[in-house]
Amino acid sequence: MRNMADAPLRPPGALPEEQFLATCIRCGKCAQACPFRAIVQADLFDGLRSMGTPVIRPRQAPCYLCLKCPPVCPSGALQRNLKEKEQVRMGTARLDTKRCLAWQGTLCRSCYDDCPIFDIAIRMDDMLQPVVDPKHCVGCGICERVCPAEPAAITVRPSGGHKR
Amino acid sequence: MKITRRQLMKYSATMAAAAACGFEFSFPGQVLGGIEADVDLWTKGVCRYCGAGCGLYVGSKGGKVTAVKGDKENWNKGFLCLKGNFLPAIMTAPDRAKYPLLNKNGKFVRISWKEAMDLMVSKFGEAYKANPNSVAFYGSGQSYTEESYVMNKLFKGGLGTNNIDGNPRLCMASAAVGYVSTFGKDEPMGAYDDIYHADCFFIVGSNMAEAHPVIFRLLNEQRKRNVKIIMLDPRKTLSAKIADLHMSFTAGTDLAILNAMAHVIVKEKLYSTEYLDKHLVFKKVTDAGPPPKIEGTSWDDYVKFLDEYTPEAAEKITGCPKEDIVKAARWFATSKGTMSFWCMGLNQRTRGVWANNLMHNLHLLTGQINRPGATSFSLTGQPNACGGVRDGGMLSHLLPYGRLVANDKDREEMEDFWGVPKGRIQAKPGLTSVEMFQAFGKADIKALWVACTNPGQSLPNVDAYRKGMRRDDTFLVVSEAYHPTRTSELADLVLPAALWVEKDGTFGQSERRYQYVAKVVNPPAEARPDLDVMLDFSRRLLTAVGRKDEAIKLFPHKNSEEVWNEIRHASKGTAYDFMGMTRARLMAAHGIQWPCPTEDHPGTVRRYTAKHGDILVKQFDAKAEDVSFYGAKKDNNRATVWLRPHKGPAEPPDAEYPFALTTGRQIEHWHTGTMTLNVPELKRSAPAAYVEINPKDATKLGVKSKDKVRLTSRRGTIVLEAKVIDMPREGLVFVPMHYPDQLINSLTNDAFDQLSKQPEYKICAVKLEKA
Repeated sequence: MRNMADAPLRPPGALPEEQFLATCIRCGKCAQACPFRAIVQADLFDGLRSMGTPVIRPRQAPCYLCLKCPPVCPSGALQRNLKEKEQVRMGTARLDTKRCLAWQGTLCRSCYDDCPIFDIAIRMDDMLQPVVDPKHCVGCGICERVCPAEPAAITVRPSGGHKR
Repeated sequence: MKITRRQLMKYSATMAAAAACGFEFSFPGQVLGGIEADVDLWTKGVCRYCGAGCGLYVGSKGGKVTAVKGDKENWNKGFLCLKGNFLPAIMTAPDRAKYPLLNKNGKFVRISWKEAMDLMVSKFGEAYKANPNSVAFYGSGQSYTEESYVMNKLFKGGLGTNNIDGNPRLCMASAAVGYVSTFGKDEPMGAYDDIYHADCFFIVGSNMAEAHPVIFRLLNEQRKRNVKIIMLDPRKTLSAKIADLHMSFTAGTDLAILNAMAHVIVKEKLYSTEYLDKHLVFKKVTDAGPPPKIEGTSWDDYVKFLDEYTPEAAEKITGCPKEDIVKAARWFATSKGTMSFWCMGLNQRTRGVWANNLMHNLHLLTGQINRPGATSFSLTGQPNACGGVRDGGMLSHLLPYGRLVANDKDREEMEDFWGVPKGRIQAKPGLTSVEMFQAFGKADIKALWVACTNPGQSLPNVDAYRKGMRRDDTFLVVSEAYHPTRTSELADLVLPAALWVEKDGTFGQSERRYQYVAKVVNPPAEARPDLDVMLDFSRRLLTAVGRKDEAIKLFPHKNSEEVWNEIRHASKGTAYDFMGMTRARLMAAHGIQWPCPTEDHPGTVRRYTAKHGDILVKQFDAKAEDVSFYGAKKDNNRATVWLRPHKGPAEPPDAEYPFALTTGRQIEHWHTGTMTLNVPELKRSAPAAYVEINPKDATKLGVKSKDKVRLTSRRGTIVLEAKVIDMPREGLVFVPMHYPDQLINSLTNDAFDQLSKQPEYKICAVKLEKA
């Protein structure tokens, strides 16, 4: 269940959270532009202030970093200066090693396989266990989506906006 | 996180209120899941999936499999991979086949077992009476040894037709023929234990990290010992990530690299004179035939043959840097022990047997064989391809335990053993997998029984064969644990089968280790163990064709143990001898490796070496001091170094179809996905097929990850999502093979190796366009 205190995961290029909330006009254009229906409009559980703003729930549908949403944002809440997926900073994946199958001795590499910053943002250590490199993680949430543990052992902590 | 009922109610109420305000939201999935597994009883068994054959314990409660855990005392040291970990979910999947089903004008209707068996016997009996070679059985490397043995006995011994083959033809035939042609008898001489002793690993055409994860873990562990890992693969797979030397090359040109390595070994005098003097003969094919004309030749001739395979020449053919070839050859020859692994990348090729021979050549030349850490080891894809089908001889050219249908003495031996009249077993090998489905498509075969495998998805060029399987004038029976599959949907009759620990039997994995799998739970509804159905069918069919005496004499067995005891006797005195593996011993042990001729024999880790414990060396070759390739009696117990020239794939890329397509596995899934795609956790991780494209190719095509791409070969076409990743080499694309709704085998090539009859799944030419 979502923690209501957390800032929600925003689409790529989002302004810092406070600025984002002040700038976003809740038009839903980014959600329409998302080919993977990963962007949904926030409901009550994301807090009243957030309602109607775009959020990504990676366990249901993560961001595949196609970067089609910032160009359609009319308000500038999503900044258009992103050229490459590597520049995105939506958040950072955190791995719960106590529940990660690989760390618990079952050979699994789903998050590593599917990470779009392949072999950089998530690497396999010498014991074939995945390790996140926060410097390179873009926070897309694909790892959270594919993790076979239930609930996911790897989850994205939103950065609260795009760092520049 | 657990959610109580009260919290759930509160949550639902809030959501309902919010929904009324017109907000869109979704229901968090974990509310409904999260039941902790409960176990009353742990029973020892073996994983259902790959040929690694990991030992495990099956946890059950209330007649249900609720958990599994790795067996710490078995070779896998308690480790399992992701798939194995989620095994319980395959037992209770909603698409389990529960009742016999008859296909009535495209609609499956439930019938009784009696009706099903009556119909099957009448159809097979009718066809058999018209022509004994118009009935066939297509079995599986996933059936228990006892099941494969019974069908082999029925077809070859009882009915006198060799039209019985199995899916190991599609995965292991080249490895089997490779071992037989080089060493005289099938199966590796080494074991997983060699991994602990080797200093150099040479891995070709195998993505162990995904296909054999637990063996890969063991290999990875050795990096602490400062070992060298060489990986030969046109795809920079996850396995290649741990390699000290990754050699990439144009797909299908690896034979030139292997010969070039031999060239370096000879030129730099890195070969073993002991092996040259005492243990080797040289052979070449002078006329490809059929039948091929084979001639003995000399070391000098071999050296001359290798002349043209200089590293420079090989680089031109393969695109693999010559420095890498030289380095690999030196590492291979000079390490304290070199162990090689290979898998489908070598086997699923029109020159699969040749490639296998060339692997063995390297070991024989350098003497990197027959001591701990030095061995030539083929990996297997199915849990019982080795034990049940290769060893048990359930292929159309084999008889049990190293005997051949083409050999008069072997046929007589089996006729005696089975107690059938002399001349009953045909001398001519029967139809192999692809040929069998070709014949079925032309209605030359009228009645075909497919058990425990999924050819409607797994055959190469599958659309052509699916058409043949749909004919009205033939009869297709499919024994399956799930329905519908891409095969059972084409069947005339579907028989519901017990799965894995719903029945008992013996599995034999890659390293000659036989293990017993106990029955833990009952099959669902009317599903039955295949062995019961096979014994019943055998007796009824033989009676129906007028051999009632044989029906009773050949198939008196009441359970799998009685069949197992007969099998042990069939192995007695052969190079496979496992007379000592009684059912009671197998139940107690964590697997035993053959040869194991007596009940007090502990099993054999390394074959062909008396010094390292092979008791059969003295029995077959009394004069041998240590090493004897006693399977090759005709060659004075010497192994053969084959002069095999380089030859590329049947369908190399060209101007019209410029890409090479290769297929393979993902760690989450197994084979055609009938089992693993039933596990929600695995399906979440890997829900659909995709095509891996090299970033440089993707730029040229204007394709980005997640774009739709159309792949077309000369046989079929498919649209898949692109995954742009620096893994396949430029000019190569990769597609996983698991997905029933995305049949990549519509595109693959059914051209096959003339020696092993194994098709070339691994390379065909395709074109790509943005869809």
